[in-house]
Order: sequence, then structure tokens, then C-alpha cells
Amino acid sequence: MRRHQAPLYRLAVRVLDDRQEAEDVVQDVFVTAWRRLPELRDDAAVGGWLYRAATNRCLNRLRDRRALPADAFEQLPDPRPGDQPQRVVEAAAGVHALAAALRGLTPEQRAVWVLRELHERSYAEIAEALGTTPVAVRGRLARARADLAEAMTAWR
Amino acid sequence: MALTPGEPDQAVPDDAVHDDAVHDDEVHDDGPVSEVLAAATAAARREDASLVPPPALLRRVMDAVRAEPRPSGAPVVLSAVPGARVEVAEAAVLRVVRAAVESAGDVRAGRCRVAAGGGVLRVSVAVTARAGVPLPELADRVRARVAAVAGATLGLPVAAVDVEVEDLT
Repeated sequence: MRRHQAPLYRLAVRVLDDRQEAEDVVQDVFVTAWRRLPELRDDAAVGGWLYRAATNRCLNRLRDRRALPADAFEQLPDPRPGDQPQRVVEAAAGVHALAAALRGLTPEQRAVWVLRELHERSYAEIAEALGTTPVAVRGRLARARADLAEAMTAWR
Repeated sequence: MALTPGEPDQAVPDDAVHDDAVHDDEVHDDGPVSEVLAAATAAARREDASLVPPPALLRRVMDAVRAEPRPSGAPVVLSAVPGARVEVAEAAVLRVVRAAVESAGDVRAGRCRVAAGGGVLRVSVAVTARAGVPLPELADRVRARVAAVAGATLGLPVAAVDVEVEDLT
């Protein structure tokens, strides 16, 4: 669990853009995993199962959120403290803009992009996590990249 | 876009996503990534690397897990005949039952409970079903498989198989 909790937490934070919700998701995933320990003995399969469970929970939460007004999420703190070197400030601003651009994607595109670009999962692993095919993953990733690139260009 | 009359329609937009194949060479096959996006992605990776879950999270999980009922692990008595008693570890019985459930297809076995008493076995199992499969029919198939396999392997008639579909995949 110690080995897996950090990657899952990072995944949930990026996909949900909300640390409290990310904690809830990770807690839920691990409690469920514990209940299913007898069938999760195969150590190699555990990582895939955990990613799938975490991704599904994140997507469900994102879908639930759609019912809320969009401005409910515009609450990110400004990540630009004044006393940091320019390089760091720029990087933080880029990440901030990226987070904003990610919010413009559909939940599935967001999950695919984070799994591929930040977690370096293979198309097959991502397809398994989302219950879809590698071909569909490829399409969504291309779309996500194009949308993000466009949003980021506007930011610059 | 104008095509020469009579020419077969082979026009494909340059930016079309080729859905027909996924190549092994994913890294080089992903296409060009915008420079700004690439820089922000790299920065996000670095930021992620130093993002650690709060220690309270691990504690909360452990608390929740400790509050869960422990599996009893009591052996299942297949035959109580003195001098010919047969007991099987609960874990072994669960293994047989889970395999039987999954042999029904379109389904994965989750939490599972078994109880033997009065010469019969009672089973309850939570499953994840493949989305789109008719659930009543699936539950019937699961019941039939459990009754057949568990009955044959353990030699106990299966009196009840309760199926709870807790998720779809």
C-alpha cells in the first residue's frame, strides 16, 4: 500500500484537481482493495487493479460534478509566490495554466492524458483502466493533446 | 477539397487519427507535442514527484480497515460422520466457489461468503458484471455454475447462491 498510495494520490489530484477529493478516492480504493485481498494475491495484477479502481472513482466524481455550476471549481490558489526564481515561477505558472486547460477536457480525455503523460502507462494499461480499447485510448489522447495545446497557446 | 473525377476517394485529412492500428512504438508514434504543452507537462511531472499523500491518509485507511469484520476462517465441515470427518479450510472453499462463479463468464467474483450447515452449502457472492449483459440471466448462470462445480468438488449440495452485482465494467 505504501508503494502504491503516492502514484494513486498524484493521479487523483491531477484528474480531480482537488486534494481533499483525491484523498477520499485513494482511501476508498484501498479499503475496497483490502476487502478483495483474497482475489488480489497476484502481485502483478494489483497495480493494474488499483489504477483501474482509482480511475473509475475519479471519473464518477467528475461526472457527478457536471451537475454543479462551472464556477464552483475556479478556486485554485495562485501558485506564484513572489520570492521564487523566475524559472520556478514560470514553471509553476505553466502547470497552473495546464491545470486550467485540463479542466476544459472531458473526464475521459483528462484521465487518458494524465495516465499517459504523467504516469507513463501503456495504451493497453490505460484501456484496461477505462474499460475501452487501445485504439480508442489513442484517439482520445490525440484529441486531449490537441485541445490542451490550443488552450496553452492561448495562455502564452 | 477537389478530387479528380473518377479517382478513388483516398483523401484523408493530415491530422486524422488513424484508428486502424496501434503501433508498438508508442513513444515516437504519439505525434508532435506543442512546445508550451511539453514544457508544462515536464513541470507538472516534477511537481508530482514531490507531491506526497498526507500521512493522515494512510492512518485513515488503516483505521477503516481495522473496523472491517475479520474473516472467520473457520473450516467448512463437509462430513461430520465420526471416523470419516472431512473439513476443508474456508479459504479453499472460497477458491472453489470464486472459480465456479467466474467460469460463468462476463463476471468477476468479489467478496464471497460460504456457510455449511444441515448438509448443504450456502453461498453469497458480490460480483462485477460486464456492462450490457442481462443481469437476471447472468445471476442464473452464476447459480448454475456454483451449484454444479461446488457440488461436484465439495460433495455438498448447494442450497442457496445469493448474487449481489456491485459494479459493472
